[in-house]
Amino acid sequence: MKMKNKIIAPFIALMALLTFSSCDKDLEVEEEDYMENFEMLWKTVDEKYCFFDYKKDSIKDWNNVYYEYKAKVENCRSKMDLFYILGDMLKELKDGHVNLYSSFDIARYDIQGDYLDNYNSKVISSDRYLGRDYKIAGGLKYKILENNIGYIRYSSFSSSFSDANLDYILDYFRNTEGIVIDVRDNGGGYADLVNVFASRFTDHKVHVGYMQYKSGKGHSDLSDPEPIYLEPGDGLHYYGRVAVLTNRNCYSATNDFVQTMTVLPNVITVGDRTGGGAGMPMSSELPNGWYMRMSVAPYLDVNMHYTEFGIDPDVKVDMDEKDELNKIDTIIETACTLILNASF
Amino acid sequence: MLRNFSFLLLLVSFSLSMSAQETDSVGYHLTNRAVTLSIGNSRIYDSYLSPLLYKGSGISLMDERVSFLSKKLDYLSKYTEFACNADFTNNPSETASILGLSFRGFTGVHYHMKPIKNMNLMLGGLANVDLGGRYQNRNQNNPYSMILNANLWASVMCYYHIPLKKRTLTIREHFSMPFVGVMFSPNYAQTYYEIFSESQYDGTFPITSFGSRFQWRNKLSLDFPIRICTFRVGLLMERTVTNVNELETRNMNVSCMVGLVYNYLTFKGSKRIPAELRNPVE
Repeated sequence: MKMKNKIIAPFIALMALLTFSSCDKDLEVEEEDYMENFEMLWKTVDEKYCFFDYKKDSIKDWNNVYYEYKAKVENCRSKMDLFYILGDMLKELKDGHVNLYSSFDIARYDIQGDYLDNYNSKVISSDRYLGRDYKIAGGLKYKILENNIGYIRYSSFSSSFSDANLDYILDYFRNTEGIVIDVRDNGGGYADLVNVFASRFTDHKVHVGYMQYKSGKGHSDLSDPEPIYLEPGDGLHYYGRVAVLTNRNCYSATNDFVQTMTVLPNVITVGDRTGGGAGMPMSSELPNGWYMRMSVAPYLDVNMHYTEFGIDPDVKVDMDEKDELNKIDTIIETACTLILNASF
Repeated sequence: MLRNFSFLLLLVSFSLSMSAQETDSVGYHLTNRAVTLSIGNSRIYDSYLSPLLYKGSGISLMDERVSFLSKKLDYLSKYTEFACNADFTNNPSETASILGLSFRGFTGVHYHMKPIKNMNLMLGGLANVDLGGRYQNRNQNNPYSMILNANLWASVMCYYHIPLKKRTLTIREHFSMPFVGVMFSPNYAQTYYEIFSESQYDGTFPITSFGSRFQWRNKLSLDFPIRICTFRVGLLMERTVTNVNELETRNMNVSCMVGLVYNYLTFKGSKRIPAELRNPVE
């Protein structure tokens, strides 16, 4: 009997010890505790946000932000107040990819700021451009304009398209003088569609930029930049002149698309500075059920520069108010002129 | 024709009192097999998906087999296990959920000892592979967390038989713990898009040991015969803590097991039931 006890007793002691050590008490949260939600939000951003170093001269010190907003949360009286305090704290990062989502609102940073709209959907809908007889292939609207230039309107990288869609469009445009790709007011979407689209405008592998990711919890913990390449896509290609139209609301995947297209030889960008958003966002959440996202993986251009604050166009053009009243899109007209004059 | 078939003879556990028949094939070894269903409590913390602890339930189906390595090596047994697990968990505010699904296989060898009467103590090592994933229904670029790892485990199994008047009860304790392995993990804030679309695999398969992967699994069960069947009830507990690439996971599963245990013998040809059968867990 004693021998049996000697064998069984260590098992029981070990199991008791292991079970006790598995309680995870440190992960238990008070869901509605305002301070706990604030602390978790601040800490998550502190550990995961990727642009602290890059933006050190343009945003507040994150530790100072902690004390500034902690005082506000201490005086907070309602859940809605808490949301807007936390939302304001996130706006300090000046990043459209940093958002806080609740069931009653989404906290967001206004990327447009003082920039002009430089896009008018009513002008695009006029007969001079898309009119009513345009064609649709997936998320792409297209038409051959009167000056024999193909026009593609792509309003969101969340609207998908296929290789077959691109084949039909490029076949339809095969005898045109050039193509205008209008991605103004395109706020981004699926990153993998960027390469699918851009790959139709190159016949060889092209180095288009670099990618990093947050490799640790420190503000400077970023991985070495890894080069990213654009491979020629399957199906029909177009090697004529291409103008990509941009404005401040070209954001996220669209910013990436513009960055990729600028590397290609027969491509010119026309319009206004893009909105940036060159950090791929990741999601997280708070104890009270709100969730958030923040940039964690920056994209860099071929010269290893961040494009988080946007990309300047090759040709800067703003919409002319008189043109707009006459339903003429100054930016499209400029792009068409550049194509017809073989200016690039 | 019959000679080409493999016959599976199902012998109910502890039913060796069945009438023996004359045969020349002595020394046959049985395979002890248990098929169990576990239902219980599950907790998931995966810092890649969320900073919060998710709680819910888990279900698991497990098939375990123990057999001697060969007729001569009757102090060494082979252990195999296949299991599929599903976890259904929610965050504290119940506004998001994580669904976990994984498949795992174990194989290994145990050395048999009989320290006291009616006790079979088995010490050995196991190798395992886990494959599966977790899905968080609300995240954008980090909705998945892939489970892919392979480990070497130390394993202790103990069978203690309690003879009653007509039947025998068996208490089994199986404790195991990995000591080295390799697991897939994204780097700290690396998205799966970067890993798989841009082929950035550097650092995604780190070697793990106690410091980076602390895991243990304990199965305590009671086998009891009723008529011609032997049932198993028990408690399954498993704890996994990993800390690689500055990402932390903590999982805890506590489940009740129910199932069937039986012994079987495979042999070729139209032989008669062997007279002498050895059970690897006795």
